Amino acid sequence: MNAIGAVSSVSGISGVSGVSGTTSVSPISGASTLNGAGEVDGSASGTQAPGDSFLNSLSDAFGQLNSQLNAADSSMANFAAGGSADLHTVMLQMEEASMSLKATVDVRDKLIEAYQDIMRTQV
Amino acid sequence: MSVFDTIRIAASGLTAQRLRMDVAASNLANAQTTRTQNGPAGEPYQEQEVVFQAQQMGPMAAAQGVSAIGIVKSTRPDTRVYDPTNPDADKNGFVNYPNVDVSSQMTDMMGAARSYQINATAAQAAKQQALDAIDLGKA
Repeated sequence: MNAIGAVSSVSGISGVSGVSGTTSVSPISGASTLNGAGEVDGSASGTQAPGDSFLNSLSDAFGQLNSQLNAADSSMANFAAGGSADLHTVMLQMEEASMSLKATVDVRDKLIEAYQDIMRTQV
Repeated sequence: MSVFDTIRIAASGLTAQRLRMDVAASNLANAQTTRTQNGPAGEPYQEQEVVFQAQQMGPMAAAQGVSAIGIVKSTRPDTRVYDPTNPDADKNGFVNYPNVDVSSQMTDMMGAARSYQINATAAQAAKQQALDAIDLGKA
């Protein structure tokens, strides 16, 4: 959920398109309409500084990812050491962590793509 | 509801079926056991059965996993066999053998194995759903 929140918060960047006057960032502002689907909190609304909420949700997503990776790590170590953990619990925890990592990497790719789109703007 | 809730519900089913399998294996292993470790002398092993209970796993009441709340002993009477030479025979020459029904334990074990597969399939489907959702973000 936080990862999706991070994606929608990218819409804060789309405000830049007003400055540059180009339409190169329009795919991302299009993504901001996904906000209308609910679920995500209204932090992307204009009252808050956009950079602030964006950074918050990004660091939230990273924190959650890190704790999931750590949990998968420790349960795998516990299992390898002959602990009482079930094999399926360990495997599913690792899958959860790997899916979160995939989602986070995708969000990062989107961000870098957006940044590069803006940097390529003709002046 | 997060996609991880689905996976956790399936995982609770996997854990439950593992326990059911353990208990069935214990019953089969002790089908001829005439003594127990801490029980009174002359009392054989008692067939055991797991009791499951639905348990809410996520924020939604509809999403319920399963948890084992206990293991109960079967109340079926022991099998009495006349065998005077057995060291556990009573003064009339009868031995109390466990009340384990081997054929029903075998079918229970097959059921547990199949249910485990079903829950693993559910976890797999939930995982695939999440991966499909991630693919939506790809160009």
